[in-house]
Amino acid sequence: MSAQKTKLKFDRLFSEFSIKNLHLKNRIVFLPHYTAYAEVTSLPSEEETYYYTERAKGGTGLIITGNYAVSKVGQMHRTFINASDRRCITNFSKTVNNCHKYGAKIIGQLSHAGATKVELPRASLYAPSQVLEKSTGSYTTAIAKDEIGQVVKEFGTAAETLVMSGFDGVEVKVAHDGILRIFVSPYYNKRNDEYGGSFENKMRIIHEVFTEIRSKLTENMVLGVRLSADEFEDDGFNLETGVQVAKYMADNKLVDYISCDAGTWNTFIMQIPPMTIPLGFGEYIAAAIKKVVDIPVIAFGRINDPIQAEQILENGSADLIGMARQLLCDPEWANKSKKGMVDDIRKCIGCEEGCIGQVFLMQPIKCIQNPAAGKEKKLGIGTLKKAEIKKKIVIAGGGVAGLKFAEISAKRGHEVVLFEKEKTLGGQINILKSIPFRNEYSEVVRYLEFILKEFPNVTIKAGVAANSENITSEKPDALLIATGAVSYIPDTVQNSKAVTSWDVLENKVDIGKSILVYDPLSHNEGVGIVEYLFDTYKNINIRYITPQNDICANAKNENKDILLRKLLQEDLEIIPYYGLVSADDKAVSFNKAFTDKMMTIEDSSFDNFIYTGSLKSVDDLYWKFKEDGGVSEVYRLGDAKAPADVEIAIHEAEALARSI
Amino acid sequence: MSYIEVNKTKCIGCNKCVEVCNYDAIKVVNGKAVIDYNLCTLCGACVKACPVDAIVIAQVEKKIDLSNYKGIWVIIEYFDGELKNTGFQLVSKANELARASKDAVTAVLVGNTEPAEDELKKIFSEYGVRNVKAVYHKDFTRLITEDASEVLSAQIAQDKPKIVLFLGTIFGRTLAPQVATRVQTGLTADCTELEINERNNLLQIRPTYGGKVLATIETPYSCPQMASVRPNVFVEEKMPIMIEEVKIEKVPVKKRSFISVKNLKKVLMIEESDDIFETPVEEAKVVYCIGLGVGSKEGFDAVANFARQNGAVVAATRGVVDEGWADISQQVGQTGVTIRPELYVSFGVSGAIHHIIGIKNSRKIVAINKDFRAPIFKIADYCIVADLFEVIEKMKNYSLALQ
Amino acid sequence: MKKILVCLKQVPNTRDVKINPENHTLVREGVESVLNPFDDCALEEALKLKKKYGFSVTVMTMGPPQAEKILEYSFRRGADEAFLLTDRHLAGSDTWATATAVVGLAKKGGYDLLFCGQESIDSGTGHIGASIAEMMNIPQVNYAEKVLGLHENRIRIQAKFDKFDAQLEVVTPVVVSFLKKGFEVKLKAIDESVISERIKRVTLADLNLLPEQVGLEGSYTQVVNIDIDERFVGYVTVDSNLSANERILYITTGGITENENKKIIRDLSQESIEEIASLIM
Repeated sequence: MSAQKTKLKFDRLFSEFSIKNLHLKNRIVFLPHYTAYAEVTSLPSEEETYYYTERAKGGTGLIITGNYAVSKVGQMHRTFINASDRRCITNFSKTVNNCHKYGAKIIGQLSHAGATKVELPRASLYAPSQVLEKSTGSYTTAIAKDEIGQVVKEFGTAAETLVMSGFDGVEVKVAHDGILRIFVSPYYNKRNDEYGGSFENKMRIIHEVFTEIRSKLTENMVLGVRLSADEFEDDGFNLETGVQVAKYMADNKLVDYISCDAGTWNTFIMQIPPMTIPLGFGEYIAAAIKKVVDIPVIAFGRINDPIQAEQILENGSADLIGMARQLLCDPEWANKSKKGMVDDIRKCIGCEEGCIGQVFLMQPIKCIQNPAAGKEKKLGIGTLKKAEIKKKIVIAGGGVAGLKFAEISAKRGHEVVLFEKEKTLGGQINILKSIPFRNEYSEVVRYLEFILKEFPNVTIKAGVAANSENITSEKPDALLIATGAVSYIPDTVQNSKAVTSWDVLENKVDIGKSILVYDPLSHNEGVGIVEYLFDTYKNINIRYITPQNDICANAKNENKDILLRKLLQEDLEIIPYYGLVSADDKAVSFNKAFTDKMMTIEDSSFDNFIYTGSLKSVDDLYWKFKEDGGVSEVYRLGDAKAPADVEIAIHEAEALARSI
Repeated sequence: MSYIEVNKTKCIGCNKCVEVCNYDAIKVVNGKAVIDYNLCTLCGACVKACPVDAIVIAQVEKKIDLSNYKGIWVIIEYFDGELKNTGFQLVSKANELARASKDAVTAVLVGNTEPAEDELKKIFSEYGVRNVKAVYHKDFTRLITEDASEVLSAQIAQDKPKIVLFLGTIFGRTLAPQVATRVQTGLTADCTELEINERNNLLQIRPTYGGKVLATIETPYSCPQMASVRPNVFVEEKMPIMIEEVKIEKVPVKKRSFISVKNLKKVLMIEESDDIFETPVEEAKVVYCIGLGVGSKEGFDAVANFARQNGAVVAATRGVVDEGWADISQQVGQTGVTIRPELYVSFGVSGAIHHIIGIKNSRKIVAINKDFRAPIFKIADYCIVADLFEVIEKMKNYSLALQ
Repeated sequence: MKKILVCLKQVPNTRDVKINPENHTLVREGVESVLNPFDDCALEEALKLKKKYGFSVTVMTMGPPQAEKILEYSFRRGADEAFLLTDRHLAGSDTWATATAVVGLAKKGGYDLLFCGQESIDSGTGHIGASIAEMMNIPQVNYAEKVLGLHENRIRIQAKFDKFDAQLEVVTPVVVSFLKKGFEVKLKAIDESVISERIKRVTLADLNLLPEQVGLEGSYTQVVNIDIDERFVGYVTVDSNLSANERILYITTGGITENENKKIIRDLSQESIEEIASLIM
């Protein structure tokens, strides 16, 4: 099917570049982020070394690690590495040496938690003035001048650790979390001493910190800043100030490069834009900064495609292309782009379930599409070995679980036959993607389908439902049942207007003006259907009822913020704490949680009743072969095992396929 | 004599003019701007950029009386009994201009057909055109415009219209400069907007520099003021009330020293082309964009053929390129090329935001998709909720029926 | 032996011209000046005739002294003679004034064939060939692809009119405007040290033209305003003056707002079909 395609060349992306004396082999930068891979002692772990080495192996030009705390007080949480501890040097050096070995340069990022400390009980949440920290709902401590002096010294001490570890440079965070950005912010800084008031005064601590660090660096080391250029808060600063800060730092030679960013810990949707935000949205921010400074500028903001990366360089909007999540998702992005293998890239979809979703839980970061992220030692580049015994594997179901299992099995040399009852592969992703801001989920299927086409040992029978006859006639050594799940309406619901959200997404239902949505789970699906309805139909009103405490209460989905920004503009009534008791053609009845209070909604008051979030496994074939025998190894994965997330389907498929 | 000069007293040496000059024709010497007259093209970018109005393009006002030039003419081709219906787009625009300049619109049909009066009266009455002139001769052809040019130029010299608009078909694009040269007046090609300014003159706005710059052009000292406009740039609009009286004036063409008669130029052969000149997508004026809704490579090819028959350049969405049906050079959107053609027609494109950002500035967007929920319908000017293959089939039958 | 004059224009490579989104000016950095590719095709056709019939090929351009770069290139391609028409009074010429100047030069040489590009990539009016022919009162062929052959004073030309291929026959002298197409450029080794000296520089006075016949003053059309088309900025720029929520929603939607004036067609009745046909065909 795949036609001969133009081999793309990205001349600008793969041209050499220098930041001061630091020579880079290409323009690709792995942006710094918290990983939570630290050991309990707040020291860098072996996982961390493997994690960064993998991205260096993948061809990345510059790796910026982080976000390292400058002191114990400066840690947001104990899972942050404390760079003032000289014991860090052992593993830092290993990381640095490994990255150098693969031709990447490496810079370490430092920050002081300031008002965004999340460790409980909270030590002092230092801020310029006492205000309410919106992200955590805690009051901050106005920092005293001698404490400012202490913070400045801590930055110097931590920088020394990086110098001793052999880093090529140091970056300081004047961005989302931490103490430095908030000195610029009008919301936090209401001081009237020399650290507040005028722009120069607000910049004083930044000036002092960068001067202190510079005094500790060797001559060839570079010093940079990660700068949030627009806080995206009405009481914060906007791009005008952000550009002013960048210009000040460049004009005063405080830094050798500027790495652009946006948002705060409170507006993290701009900091770590989810799939609701268009790819490469931050280009205008980089361009605005690039215009006023004469030092290198790094672009940011959901860049996942080398075509767009090349375009940003061509537009002159930035000198370097920064990515974090994309390289988490596919560490070999640079090498694949260099070869023009654009379709081979597994693109980050901005789902944020594996990465930032874990950060909020202070759990080690991972990636729903890339099970190797954070487990490079075990699952990384070069770990997948050919199977000793080649088997014939039949897979029933071409959804995410079946496709992922097929990919790994094919790479291990097994012969794979995959049945999918629909003509199109992807299973439930094909339903999910009709929701406007979820359509990037189709990338998960696109990638797997593309990779499978490259393997001659894979036969895909799309449009053919697996059954016991065609499975048996293939004489498989192993059988995987990945037949997914179906949505259903429970027997308690006898209202004839009731439909599932799948019926709606598949366009099988005439939608009226007044819609009742019942969502027992309050997960992604309920909020998705509400979003879909408002996006698709005009002048409708929705009553959303859930026994949980909010809409998308249980979704570890960082799209929630942006969804609410949209949905709350609409005619939406959210009714929490009500569980469905019964529904017939006269009315639907609900019971308020922890009470005997009932709520009845007359059938005549709504046009549609959407019952969402009820799934059950389709697993008949599993039980049939498990009980009747005929195939020696029978497995099940994905929703056929239990309805769950894409992540579970992919990760379990990888693990199982490696074991067969 | 016209010339550009810098007022040295006003000039503050700010360098803004130097930054905007596209021809390196200005330098600041000793704190004052100095123009290199060898390089200057009098484009006026510096005049606009100067914050203190120190640069002026001075011009001797020509005193020419153009007051006896009246009316707006729209030239429409009328060959083999077929009225070029995209001409009504231009008629609609002319009506709008006429309201501003308080002029009357005359439709001038040029071709080889004697006008079918009743039919034309009916049509033009719907568009509020009271006067129709037909300039025709059986030997006129679309490819040898010199003959029509000769006749039309004489008619213009006699009737003195103030504004003449040509539809930028092959015929119109060739005829217009010939006529403008013969009657000795200015002409602006491929305008994308027309307006009337405070001096009651026609402002002709056209893209230049590959479309990246919009130039506003005026023809201040000669009449008629002429412009050509490509089909589908303007939207046709019928008048709310039909005109009762439409006058059709037949202009007798006396056979004169026609180029075809003198056998100076003749067409030996003409046939429908199968070799298509592949304009890059980003330069195309008409783009048909194909999405995954075509279902297969065969579906893609069918739409692509239809596009070529209509002279459109084929673009594709990322999904289609991923499938391997189209080449990546055809990919349009944020991860492909950004386009803004005069006409963008989508076939089975749902309209992911990354795609829409790359096409949203197309002048006219027509979307065909059977799923009314397709996001592309949000930004489209025309939403055709139908099966794309059925649309194509009917289009083909329709054009066959016309032939 | 017949004489061919090829009219050339030096243009900025418009594909490289970018728009600076901040101050809305054209970014010329890294933009090279090139021979208009349409004109290059006209030159190629002239050189083919030179090879086949031994015709002489003269090239000319009008522009600043730097435009001699394209004349030097023409010598390397195989042109015999080159004129550079350069005069400060030519600045601001529209197509009429340009054609006036070209005709001034063309009349001096008694050429049989005048070749030019159908349009230029920077302005793209497509008027020059037509104007020259009308001013000289000779036939013209537009949208030419190639010269098919020549017999005495009759020349056969293959042309492309949108969807149609055509062959035309015209009597010389004639002006032929060529479309752009790909071909292999072959450069000849020539004496580089005298290449610039071979260019003949002419001024208006040499052509008996008056300053007021050309330039801004000799032009019927005048550019009264130049604006950058902001729609060519390849990315979405967000207005800092919007509220934070507005900025975020603007980014989310990519700056796209729903078209409230759209027309929806749901049936494929004859009337709809006619409307769709008028829209897209």
